[in-house]
Amino acid sequence: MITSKKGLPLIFFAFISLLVGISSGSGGWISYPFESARHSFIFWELRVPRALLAFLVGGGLGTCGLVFQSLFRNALAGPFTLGVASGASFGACLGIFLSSSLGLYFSWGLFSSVTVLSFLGALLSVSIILGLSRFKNGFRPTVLILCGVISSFFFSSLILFLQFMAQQYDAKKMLQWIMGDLGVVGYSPSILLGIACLLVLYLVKKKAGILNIISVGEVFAQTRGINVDRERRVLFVTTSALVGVIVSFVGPISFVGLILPHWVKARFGHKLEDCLGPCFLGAGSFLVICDCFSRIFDGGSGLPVGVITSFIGGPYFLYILLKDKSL
Amino acid sequence: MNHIEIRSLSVEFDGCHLIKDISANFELGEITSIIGSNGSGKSSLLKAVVGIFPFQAKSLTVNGESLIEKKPQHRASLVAYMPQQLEIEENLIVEDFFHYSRFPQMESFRKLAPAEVKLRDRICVELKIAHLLKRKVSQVSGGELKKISIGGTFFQGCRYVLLDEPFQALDPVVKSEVAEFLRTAVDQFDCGIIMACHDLYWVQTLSDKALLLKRGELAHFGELRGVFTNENLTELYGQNFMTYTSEGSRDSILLPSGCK
Repeated sequence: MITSKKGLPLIFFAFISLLVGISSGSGGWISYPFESARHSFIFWELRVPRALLAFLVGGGLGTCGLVFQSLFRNALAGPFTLGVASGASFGACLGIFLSSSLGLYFSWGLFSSVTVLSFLGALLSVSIILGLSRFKNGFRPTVLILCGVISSFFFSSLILFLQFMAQQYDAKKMLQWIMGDLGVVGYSPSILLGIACLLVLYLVKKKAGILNIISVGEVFAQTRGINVDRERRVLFVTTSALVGVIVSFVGPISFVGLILPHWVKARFGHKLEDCLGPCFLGAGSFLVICDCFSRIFDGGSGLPVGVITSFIGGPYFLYILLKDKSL
Repeated sequence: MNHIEIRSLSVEFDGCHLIKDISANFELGEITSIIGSNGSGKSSLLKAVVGIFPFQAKSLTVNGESLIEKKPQHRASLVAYMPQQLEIEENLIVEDFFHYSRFPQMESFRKLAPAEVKLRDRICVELKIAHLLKRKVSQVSGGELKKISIGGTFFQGCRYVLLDEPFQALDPVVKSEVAEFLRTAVDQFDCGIIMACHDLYWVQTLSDKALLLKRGELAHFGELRGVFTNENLTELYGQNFMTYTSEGSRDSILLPSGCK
């Protein structure tokens, strides 16, 4: 996937970030050979799974952002501007609320009522968008993004309502969930997410040519025999499903899916097949590094990683906006 | 059988009848011009034929095959269309524009075959845009972009090519270059050209046939010489026309009498 020379520094960066990611943390620097069994446990059961998960989450969100941006020809289209993440957040908050105030809770391996409701919340917002687009006679970017913004506000109000109704402890739990958390023990979330990412990457790679043509322009794609509406629908649903899986496991981590695709496109050109690999690698490593900061910050108080991605992402996005003359 | 055949085609949009009950044949190997005043439905007719505008019709066939139930990619391999204003991504490289234009002829998305590259280069040389291939769309002028769109539409490899205002935004010299390209393209690509055009000089110089549209209805259709009469044009535009003859030439051109 990465063929040009420009890709080499990126591979190097990814390697270093993973190395730093698994070695550093609140328990101090750990390197091979391990000093004790405790170190070995921290390394294999906490840090490696966490770095792996961070890498997959970042890569997945970056890929989804890249696809959304080409699909809708809009620099602002992303997993979060389209309302998928806010739907998922509402589902999770509802799960937390139901479990504490009504005692409705279940847990089965990886899945709990919170993750399942969160995924259903993502699906709900996807179906709202799909339904609306059918009603409005087509899958047009402006309608879609407007609909995303509206449903974001709507779900936010529902979340605030739940927080208002909930006990203080649950309200804080909801807030923490919304800030995003990569804390994980063991490998099963990474395996599940890895499979989901591979499936989506395979589909996107297969559709890369068509996506390239759509990103040129809607009328252009239509005259070149592409059913733009159908392609948009299919790719929107699959990538949104991946976003739903990611968000239901780790919460909404914003800006990764928005800034990395821009950075990659500026360096690797506008062909999707050239950007896919770098985007996954770059976004994955970016989140691993951000997660390192979050773990080291203040002696390991566990500052949510979403705070850091937004803190870096906001100004960087502004920088792109100022630099890019076509925006 | 070698023609696009339209039977009773109508286009309705937001309660407005843009096109009313038009029937016509467009033959292979001919240039047909669609003329009419602004808002007469020229663009709507082209968009309906190419299938990106909803329409009702008794039938719409290309070489005997119905276009209506065809999948978009199959349709785009039979009929190519250039919109009046092509909105395209500014960072796109012109070379890729040509590559993507060829998509309807591909089983699945692939690189251009050597023969296709040769064809592309020939089109670019003829339209004098070969030097632009490596540039971004944002780095070419409006007129150059028009020529690129025309080239891309022919590179799509269809037997019928629909052009909406191919002469718009071109300087007089470039207009004659494009006209020369269109004149030879009919034989070279063995295709039929249907163009909506306001430039009556080039319509009369190039076309074999003309279709006169008045408020969405077919006013006249037929061989250029038969249709392009003073009365017909006066009726169409609501203004008197005069015959102009250039020195040393037997050809005469009808133009509005207002321009001197």
